[in-house]
Amino acid sequence: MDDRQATALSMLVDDLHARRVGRRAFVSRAAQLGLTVPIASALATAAARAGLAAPAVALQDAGKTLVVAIPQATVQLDPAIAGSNGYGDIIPLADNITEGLTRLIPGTVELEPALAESWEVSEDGLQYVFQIRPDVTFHDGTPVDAAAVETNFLRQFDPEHPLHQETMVYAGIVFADVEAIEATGDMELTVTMTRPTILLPGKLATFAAGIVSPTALEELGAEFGQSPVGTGPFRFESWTQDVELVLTANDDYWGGRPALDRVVWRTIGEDTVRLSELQTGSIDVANQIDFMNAPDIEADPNLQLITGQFLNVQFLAFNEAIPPFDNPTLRQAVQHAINKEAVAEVVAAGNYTLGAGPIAPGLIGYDPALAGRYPYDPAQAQVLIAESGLTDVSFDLLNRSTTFWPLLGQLIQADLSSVGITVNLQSLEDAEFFNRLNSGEVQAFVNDWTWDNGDPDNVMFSLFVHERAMNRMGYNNEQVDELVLEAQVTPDAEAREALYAEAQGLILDDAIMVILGYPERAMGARAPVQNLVVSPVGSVVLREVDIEG
Amino acid sequence: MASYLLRRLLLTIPILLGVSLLVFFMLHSAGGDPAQIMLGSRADPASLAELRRELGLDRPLWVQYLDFASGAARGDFGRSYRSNTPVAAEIAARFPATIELAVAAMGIAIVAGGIVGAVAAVRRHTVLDYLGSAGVLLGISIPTFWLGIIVIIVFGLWLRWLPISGRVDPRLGAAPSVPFLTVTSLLQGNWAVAGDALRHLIMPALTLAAWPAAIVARMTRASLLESLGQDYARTARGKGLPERLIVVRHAARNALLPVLTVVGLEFGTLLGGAVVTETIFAWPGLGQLTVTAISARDYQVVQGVVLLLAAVFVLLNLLVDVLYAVLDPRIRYG
Repeated sequence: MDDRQATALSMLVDDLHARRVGRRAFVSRAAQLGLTVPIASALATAAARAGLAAPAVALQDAGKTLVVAIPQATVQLDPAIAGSNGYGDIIPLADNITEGLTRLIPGTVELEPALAESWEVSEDGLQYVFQIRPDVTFHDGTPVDAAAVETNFLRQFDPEHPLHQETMVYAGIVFADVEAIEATGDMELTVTMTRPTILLPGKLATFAAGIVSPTALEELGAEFGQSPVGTGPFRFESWTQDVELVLTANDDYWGGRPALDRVVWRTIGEDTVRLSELQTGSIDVANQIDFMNAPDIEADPNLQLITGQFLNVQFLAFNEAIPPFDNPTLRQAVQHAINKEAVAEVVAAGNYTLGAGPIAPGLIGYDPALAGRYPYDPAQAQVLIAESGLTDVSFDLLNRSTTFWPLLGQLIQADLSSVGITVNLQSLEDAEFFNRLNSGEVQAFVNDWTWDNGDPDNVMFSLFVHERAMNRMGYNNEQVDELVLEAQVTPDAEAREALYAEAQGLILDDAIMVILGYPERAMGARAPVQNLVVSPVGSVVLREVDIEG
Repeated sequence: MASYLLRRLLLTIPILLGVSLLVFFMLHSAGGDPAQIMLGSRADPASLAELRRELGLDRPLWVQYLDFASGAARGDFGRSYRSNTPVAAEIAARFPATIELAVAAMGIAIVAGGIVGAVAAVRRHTVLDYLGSAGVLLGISIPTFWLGIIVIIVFGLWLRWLPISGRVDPRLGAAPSVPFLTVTSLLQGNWAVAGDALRHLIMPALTLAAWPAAIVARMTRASLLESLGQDYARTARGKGLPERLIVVRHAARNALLPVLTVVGLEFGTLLGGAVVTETIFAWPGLGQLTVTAISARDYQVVQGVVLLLAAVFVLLNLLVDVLYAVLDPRIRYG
């Protein structure tokens, strides 16, 4: 919009807030302004804030608009809090609206500089000095400097910080082992660690470490999540919570303006509906396509199926603190009784790597040979059950009630029934599922873990060392703890690999969980959509995406 | 009449109080807690306890209830745990979409149900009557979920006559949160948006109308048959009035009262947000909000929605009673 329009617009908005204009006058004055894209959106926001109906106007020039459908609802858009709602918040935010000091190269687990131009680690490994990228501004014009980043980190790291909220659930993950965070220059940020872990740069690529405008944080307070201000290739324009979110291109993006002019994120929960919308061309991208539907997409010349590596591990976990899985031989018996090939078919129509150790393919420490540790062998399972000294084994198995989880539970139930173990299946909605898990009284459950960043530590620490392991599985192996903590401070890749190999070996010895496998992920897109790749951490990064023609 | 109205309005207070108590304790006994869901699979006991404290969930239940009730009495329904926005704002953003859908569905139900019911009554024991009964049976017994998906596949995917989900094509640039999008854009003369919004409304409205249309048809048939068997109808026939006039002038008006009751109740149900329909068609209404709020144990939002619905129900009932008096001069309230 030009200056004249901008002035008229700001006057109109002021009048509106001061209630000097009514709804009708507002709409007619808005119409006189011509209602181009940015004006319309500014008016809509202003009108919504003033409690008036936003004008339903058609855009005169929508440009290249990409409509992306995701199954999850978007609730708020503060990256520090996004973890508490899940991927509905994370996907539109991460690397689209906000960026961290570091980021992953799309489609890989390789780290590259983002808002930090470079960084150095002190010799003792205890100090990270980040050089903040110069001449970058937030969407509201606030310059990005070390002080801005400091505010962002401290509001998560320091529980006493005025901007801290308890729902910043990833603070403990991103800033683990951090002792202090300080702006040591205009464009220099120093992070001091309590231990020389090598994980910090990777963790800073996590969505939760996204940097937002400190000006907006101060101004909006707890309402920040309703109109986020970041530095990413797309800026927030408008939205209807849980329904639709509109972003526009950031003309001043430091990495160059994105090819798309506008991105609309829609929440469509039903798989069939999301697929049908894609087939009719009403949306351009459908995230999370059920592999059962993949052939339909591949057969359609107007569509393309995009698949790729996805860092996720699915498992059947036992609680070794309570019977019957306090018996290690029984845990090993179950390992032999599960047919992972069948799981692969049910979960991902075969687009699945069968389980080896906890670390997924593509990461340091993944070892396919571990899959041979407990081959599918029902006869061997029965021998081990006899050895365990237990008879008439039966237990409660918890699974989540969404997507493929109930089927997965039934498969395990059938497999175990054929070796004489009775499984009482309990399908629970997420709320109750996690509630029961944390009670520590669940005998066994099926669940998964999606990596938040590209480091094997994310699962090795979170599942087996963190107090969660003790809480949910009664698992506490000091040797595993030592190895994983050692790997955190070992920069040499080969040495790390050896440490993880040993730790995974011990975990498999303990047979504390059956590693079922690692599913791939699929997206559907209209044929003209270009440069879209599956992200290993479950995000959908659009800065390089274009629409042909 | 005025004192009657006042009495009825005052009666809503204990009703709302009772509903709020019931909902509050049912929600809290359903298991799962909001803190747990917010922290998700990454939760650890210490941060769980801290978040529960911050959300005030560690206080005794009755304290939490009093807190909620006293806030609600002042019109403050608190903030959503999930989004940290005021519950009233969340509801206000969604209710108009639900009203729009409910009005469209009820309109279809009244017209379709009324016609089918009337024809079945007048042509009793003919093929038309039997066809109508079959339709009614279908309407009542088809699961909404199934009907919605079939309608989508047939009209949206195969025939491509209608858009599949949502409220308006996002490429048109109209916000889906605009209250009464169809009417608003019509009033503004924005034909592109109005037409698109109307097309988006058809499939969910039809799906949603199936059940109430069947109920209305059944009630219309029964009630019209009863009227047609009354003495005044016989008298009219005796003095040689054509059957068409007997139906339209005499029987129809008297047959209206029971139908009105049914319409009032069904409309209340529709305003509650058609949970299944809204979910399938990604319709940004109250039903969808309620479902996500329940599964996230977003207590504040659920309580707000339920209270609103209770109030809507009570007021609709009152409205129906008042309409009774208008339609039937024999009914007097005092």
